[in-house]
Amino acid sequence: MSKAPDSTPISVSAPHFTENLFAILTETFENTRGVYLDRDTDLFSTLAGLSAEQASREVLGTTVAAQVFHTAFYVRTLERYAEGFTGKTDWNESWTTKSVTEPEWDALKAQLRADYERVTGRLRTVTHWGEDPLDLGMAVAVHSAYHLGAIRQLVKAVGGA
Amino acid sequence: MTEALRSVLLELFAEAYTGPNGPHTWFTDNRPGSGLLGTLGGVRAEDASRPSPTGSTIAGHAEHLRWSLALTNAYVRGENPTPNWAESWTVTTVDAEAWDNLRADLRREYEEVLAALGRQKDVSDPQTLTGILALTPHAAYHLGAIRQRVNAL
Repeated sequence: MSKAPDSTPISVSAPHFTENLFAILTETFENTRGVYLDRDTDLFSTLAGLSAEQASREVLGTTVAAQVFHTAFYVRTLERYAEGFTGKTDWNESWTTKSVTEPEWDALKAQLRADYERVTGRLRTVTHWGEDPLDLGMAVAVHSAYHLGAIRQLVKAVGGA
Repeated sequence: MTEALRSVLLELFAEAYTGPNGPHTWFTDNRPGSGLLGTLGGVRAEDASRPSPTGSTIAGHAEHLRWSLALTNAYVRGENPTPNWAESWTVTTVDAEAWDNLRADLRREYEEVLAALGRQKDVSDPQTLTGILALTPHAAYHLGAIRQRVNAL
């Protein structure tokens, strides 16, 4: 970053911004490219190979399954708000899943991927980057990064790779 | 894009380091001091030096973040650093004085970056925008890890 005259308004082209936003979302969820994570430490890579039993093992007061359910819940909730929902969200509901069977674990991982792909698909259709789509894109990236940091600690504790 | 982007980035970056600025949060816990600085402020040097299952320590994460923000500030000052990211993980244990200094340095670097974000105009350089957008996901990732470690104390 560098200093510039304060009279110059900030300007970023939409393609420049979206290229970077999607690089961060991709990095966080499915494919690290050295934007801010170490190699293969994205969400889907981290969760792959983890059994339902490992995902359900309570460590440090939580489980990987709980963190994943909450992360997916957040993505869907922000999407609802982006679609015009104005009601309140009971965030306690986002912590109601703690343990999963193998089929439930597969379904939960698939749900997270579907939610991520749907929201990124939605973001790719944005033509005007006002506050709402900016909030959606950046908040999903940041919140998911936060829980990825937690999940990586848990995965090591339960014997994951 | 524009001041709306700056506003979003500032809000998220500040939340990562200083926690929520009101009853609503984007990703931190809804309690004062849930950001990095508040979280680290409640950790003793001895606990900050305790290794996790990944081998890292809370002090190590804090230093990594300090180092990364110092790098950002170097770019802001117009320097042309040649970063060796391995250097950002050279701290694992701290005594009380070193821990106090590290936390103070992290706060100082954060405040400088925050100020720079508030005045940055030109983001046409490809690396500039990438760096700016990555600041908060990076901080959030380490905050998530640190808070899990704090839960274990």
